[in-house]
Amino acid sequence: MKRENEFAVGVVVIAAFAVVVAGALWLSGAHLGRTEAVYTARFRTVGGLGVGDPVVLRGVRVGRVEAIRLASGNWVEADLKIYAGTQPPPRPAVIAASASLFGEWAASLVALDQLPNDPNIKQAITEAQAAGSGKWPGATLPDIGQLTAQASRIATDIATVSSRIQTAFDSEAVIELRRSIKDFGQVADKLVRVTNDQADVLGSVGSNLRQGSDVLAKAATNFQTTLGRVDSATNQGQLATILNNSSATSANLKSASQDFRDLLDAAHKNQESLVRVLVSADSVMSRISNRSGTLGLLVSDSTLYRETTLTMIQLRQLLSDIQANPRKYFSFSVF
Amino acid sequence: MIEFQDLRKAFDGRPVLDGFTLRVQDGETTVIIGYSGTGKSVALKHVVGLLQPDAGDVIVDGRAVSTLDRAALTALRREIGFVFQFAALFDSMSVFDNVALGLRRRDLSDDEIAARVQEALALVDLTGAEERLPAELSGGMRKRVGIARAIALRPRYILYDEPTTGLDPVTSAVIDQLMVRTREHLRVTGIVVTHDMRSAYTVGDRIAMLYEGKIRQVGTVAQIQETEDPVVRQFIEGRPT
Amino acid sequence: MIERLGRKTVDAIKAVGGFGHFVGDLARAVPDVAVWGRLTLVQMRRVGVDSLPVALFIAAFTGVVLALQASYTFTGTVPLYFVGTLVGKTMMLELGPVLAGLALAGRVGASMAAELGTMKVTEQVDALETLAYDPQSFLVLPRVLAGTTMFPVIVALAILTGIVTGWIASLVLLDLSTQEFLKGLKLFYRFKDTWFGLFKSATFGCTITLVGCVVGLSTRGGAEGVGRSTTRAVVYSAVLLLVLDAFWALVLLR
Repeated sequence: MKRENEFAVGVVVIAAFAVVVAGALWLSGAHLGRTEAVYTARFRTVGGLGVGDPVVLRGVRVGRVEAIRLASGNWVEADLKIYAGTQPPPRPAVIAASASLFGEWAASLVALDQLPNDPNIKQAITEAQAAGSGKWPGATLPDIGQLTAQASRIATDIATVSSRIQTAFDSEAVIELRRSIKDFGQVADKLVRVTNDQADVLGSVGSNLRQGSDVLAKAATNFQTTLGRVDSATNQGQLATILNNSSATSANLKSASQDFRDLLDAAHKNQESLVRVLVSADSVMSRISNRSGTLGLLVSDSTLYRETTLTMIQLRQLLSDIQANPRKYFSFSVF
Repeated sequence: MIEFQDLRKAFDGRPVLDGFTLRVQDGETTVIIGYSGTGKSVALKHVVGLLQPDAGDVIVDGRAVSTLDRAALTALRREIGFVFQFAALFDSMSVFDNVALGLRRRDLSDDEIAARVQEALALVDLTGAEERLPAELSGGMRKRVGIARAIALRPRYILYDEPTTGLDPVTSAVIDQLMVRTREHLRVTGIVVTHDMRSAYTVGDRIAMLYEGKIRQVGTVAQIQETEDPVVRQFIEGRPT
Repeated sequence: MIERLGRKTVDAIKAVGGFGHFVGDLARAVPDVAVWGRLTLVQMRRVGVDSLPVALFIAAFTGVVLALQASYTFTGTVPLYFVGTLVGKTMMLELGPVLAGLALAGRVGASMAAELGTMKVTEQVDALETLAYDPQSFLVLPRVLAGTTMFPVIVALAILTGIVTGWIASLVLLDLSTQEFLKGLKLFYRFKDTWFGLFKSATFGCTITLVGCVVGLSTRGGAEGVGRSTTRAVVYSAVLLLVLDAFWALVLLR
């Protein structure tokens, strides 16, 4: 009887103890390896990075964030515990970024010479490096919420610009317009070609992607139609036609920008198409930017010119962000 | 010597003991008789500190029970065996364990405990019932185990609370014999609370009648049998009015 | 009216004082290891091992229900791997400890109140005292200790059971893979999830057994009294358990 008690109680207690210890270790992702190395990284801000978040190297989990503390000189220091058997890059930098829409963050290790092509990141890393004392330099990427907010701001700006074009069209601009339209036409051609190529490539990937590509194609086609109409009008020297058409043209431009906004919406639903679309759009904008004088002459309203330029700058910043780190930004899975 | 000194106790404002005074001499067995519910058992429980008096006290060998601290009370209880009305055996324990329980509180080896248990069970004629559970015993046997549990401790005093209540006349007589035998064997001082007059006459050296919270009369068996007091007479003769 | 109110207040204060006295006596019984040591093991067996099937049974079904309800709520809004998060968090933080606690309040608390109540009305408790035993160390302490130590043990196994059945339900009844369930389970796990639930259940075990013992030992009036005590023990411990649950959430989860 007594022995039986001891045995039964013992079995149950040991089982429960094993469950608690093993469960807690497993769930918290603790690594029962041999010695782990701890490195310290230095950030201006760690964003949403927290203790216990994973440290990843080329997408593979190799450790976790052990501690985060404020340090002197307005720095934040994070201790990164790296599992034994992992070889960090020779000259490592750390980029903290959100890993999903639900607030999980991760610290990625990258080699210093393979940093993403982003001026903000490069600047932050250089600054952290300059502080010296052997700590890994770190930078933080904005999370997806900030990005989408910026994208929608740009879409609004484009709509504003196109509505201003209506008032901007006057006869003095026509000649310059012809020249720029040729460029625009080329760009649009390229855009359509790129889009079609991508649509072919991505044809099998899924309806979301195709939707994104379709919207883009539609936008580009509309744009091209508009430009073509303007082109032919100026060719024949029919200023009146241009003026008559100008309202239709601007309406078309407006609808093109509306299409672009739809595109962005669709892109929200599919990050890969967003990346590709924006990459394509960037090349368009680069061309416009290179000929900013042309556009400036075309558009007599200096406010419009400034706004256009500003919009392009914003868009370029966004694009460089995204282009530089497509995987960091868009590694989450959208439901 | 056990002395009840002007003991008073009330339950929910209803006085049960109201100046109860009685002296129990060493070596003798005193029987307290009285109507059911008049506080005989209550008086008994004051002796071992199971109840606290409202006023007065019980003095056991010069110790006032209600003033004792925990350790002293434990020491006192070791000198007193208490036989409960319905034996109060522990249901989950065998007869052996019931009797041995009190002994395990003392510095005795397992062999000594076993020997003392056997001795006590032999005295109440229950040799061989060691491994049975209380639920398997008859009322008389349970009472006898209760007595064995008390005497196994070799107490100086034994208090019996209604030892024959609920038993048939033959079994009652067996219990009476047992109480007499216990006194003779172990030379213990006893207090027996009962309303069974035949039992009182058999085991008592002196008889005290408790009536309305006080002692109505104390005397030897012969004195009580010849009493002139109408209340005592009515009780011992068992007349309705 | 005022007089009655006053008397009630005095009674309530007396009850608190009585309880404090009880706990004080209990603390004084602690050095009496020779008495309660062995008995505690018996109670651990009765409280812990014998209650295991009930607790695991409840936890098993809770896990299944949680998984199904989570998927019902999440479908179309939140990714389904959050089923794992919800099942894990809910089992560890709340339903594991509380449902097992309520079940054991019925099973353990009631049986203790009935057992001690019966011992009280049949004078077995008095008999213990006359045999120089302290009922606190012989009866109460083993039960309270067993409750306090074995409740977390039961709850740990109940949590495991709930999560496993939730996982099986996700696998079989929902279109969820093991990897997704585990991803959700690990997603927001903190070690606090574990110790909070277990600590809470230890306090539940202490409360339930203490209430069972206090109520049992204050039983008066025969079989009917025992019945009353049993009911009271269950009601009191269930209420206290929920109050305590809210208290710990307030103190430890903010």
